[in-house]
Amino acid sequence: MALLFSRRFGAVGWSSEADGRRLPSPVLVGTVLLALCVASVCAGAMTIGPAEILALLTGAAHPAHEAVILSIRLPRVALGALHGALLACSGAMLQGLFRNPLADPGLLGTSGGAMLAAAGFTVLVAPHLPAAGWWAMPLAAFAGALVVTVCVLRIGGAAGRADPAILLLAGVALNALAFAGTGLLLSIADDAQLRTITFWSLGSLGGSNWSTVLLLLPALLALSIAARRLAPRLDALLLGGREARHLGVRVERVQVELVVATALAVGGSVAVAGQIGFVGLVVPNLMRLVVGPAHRWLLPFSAAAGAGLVVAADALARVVVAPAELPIGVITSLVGVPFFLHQLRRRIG
Amino acid sequence: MIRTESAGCARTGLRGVTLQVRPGELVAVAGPNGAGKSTLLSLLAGERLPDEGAVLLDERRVAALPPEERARRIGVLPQAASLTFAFRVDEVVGLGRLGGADRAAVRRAMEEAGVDHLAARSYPTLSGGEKQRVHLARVLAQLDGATRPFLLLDEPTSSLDPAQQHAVLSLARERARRGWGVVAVLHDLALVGRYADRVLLLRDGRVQACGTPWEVLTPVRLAACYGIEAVVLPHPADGSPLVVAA
Repeated sequence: MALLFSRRFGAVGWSSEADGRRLPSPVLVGTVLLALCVASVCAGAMTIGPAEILALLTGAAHPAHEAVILSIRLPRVALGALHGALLACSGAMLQGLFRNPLADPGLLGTSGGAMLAAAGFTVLVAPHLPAAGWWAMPLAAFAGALVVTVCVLRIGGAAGRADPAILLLAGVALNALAFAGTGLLLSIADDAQLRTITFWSLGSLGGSNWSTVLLLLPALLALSIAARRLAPRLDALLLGGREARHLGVRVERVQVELVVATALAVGGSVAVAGQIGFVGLVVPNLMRLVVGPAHRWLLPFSAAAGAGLVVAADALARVVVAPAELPIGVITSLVGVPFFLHQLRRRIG
Repeated sequence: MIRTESAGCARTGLRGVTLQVRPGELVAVAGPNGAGKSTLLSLLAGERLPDEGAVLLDERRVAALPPEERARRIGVLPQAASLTFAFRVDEVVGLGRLGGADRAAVRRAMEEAGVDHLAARSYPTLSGGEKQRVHLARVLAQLDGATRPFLLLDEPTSSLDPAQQHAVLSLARERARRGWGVVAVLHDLALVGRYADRVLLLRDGRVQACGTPWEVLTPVRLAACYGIEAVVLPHPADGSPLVVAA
């Protein structure tokens, strides 16, 4: 995450001034995120005090608690943070690529494609290919996300010339197709496969362990590098494809890099935690209201806010109906949508 | 020098256009709607490949130049740039300096385009004329400090009031005097006569005439080209041709 924040941005305090915009300070953002993570580690069926986490560092923790924290809670929090950061940052980048604040990995069909490919792999390929490694299914999800995004880009025409409405309609259509395909797979899946597919379509951090966290790290690295590299070009792309070309942007190359990086991030996220809706759509729009539309600030702040949102939502999901668990998407929607609508109203009024 | 050599574009019907624009001159491109003016401009900008002929910047094909290099030499002011995201005006102007934010260049450009007082305003809240001047500032910032740059203006006055129209074209002409090459697509023949060093008159994708305003803007040619009856008088201020519909 630190890689996402520009090095120029070194102010310490509650807010900082950058290019004439008042931005929340990275110190504040980091503190809030850390507090959310600690709260989330403590929350759950077995109550763990923040002091226990400190005790863990010195090796003085209760062994049972230590096991719960290290092998269950921490990977889950880390996965939630990564998932939220990847989805929110991808959402912001896709919105720039399509010049449309309504673009979202869910709406464009990127997540749907990833889900369909992952489900297809699980039902059709995995039974005949027992030797496939743990990486095979995420790879399929990545390919699915890539194929759908490329299709949307192709059908909608090159960005800039394209009518944003056509792009979104193409995404919605492909999304519907992906869902139909997943439904088809559901009907021929056996019980175990059925559970896996349902898990993806609802979205859950329940399957978290350290290997799923490790799986997302390359995606985060790729997305961070793309975000740092492409932020000014994404700003120029918002003017339109023609104008960006006039400014010296290699539009096609930027599009390819964006599509690959976001497909990697979305595919990876869906493969390990399924679809957690709404994060990629609302977080970047919310952050635009806070830090403005310039991508060098929007992308890192969206990533941080997305991480915080998913971590907090997951903690709530575990606490509210304990010992049962709510689907995390329910919480993200319940918390985020009213806030978003309120911001929209304030913006208009 | 930027020049086209019997350049054409089949899809838009532009054929055999030969035009030379030297640093230091302002060339106006005029003609009825659909004559191919914007197509010619996009050929010069290198965003479209000519189907026939060639478009050359200092004897190198414009479309084959590396994008970054082309952006340092050629700036384009589009007819209408749609930007719905809430950038501040100075951020929009700063987009002209993708290679690295150059605040001094951005400030100079905003002052020259007369939008410095709008610097902190949100772009989508501006009027059409203000937006056009913000994009002019963006292009000025892009070409700030460039050697012998070319400025391509596509109907730069379309949403401006008369005072602003003259301000923008005076600025363009002053840039030409400082060694820039300027190509402006203009609809208003009074502005063409007043500001252009040379005029290219297009109709149905073909060059009707190319020369000084007095050579090109004749009643006979305007009648043939636009189907209008016009008288051409010497402008009382500077003796440039003033086209008045009869």
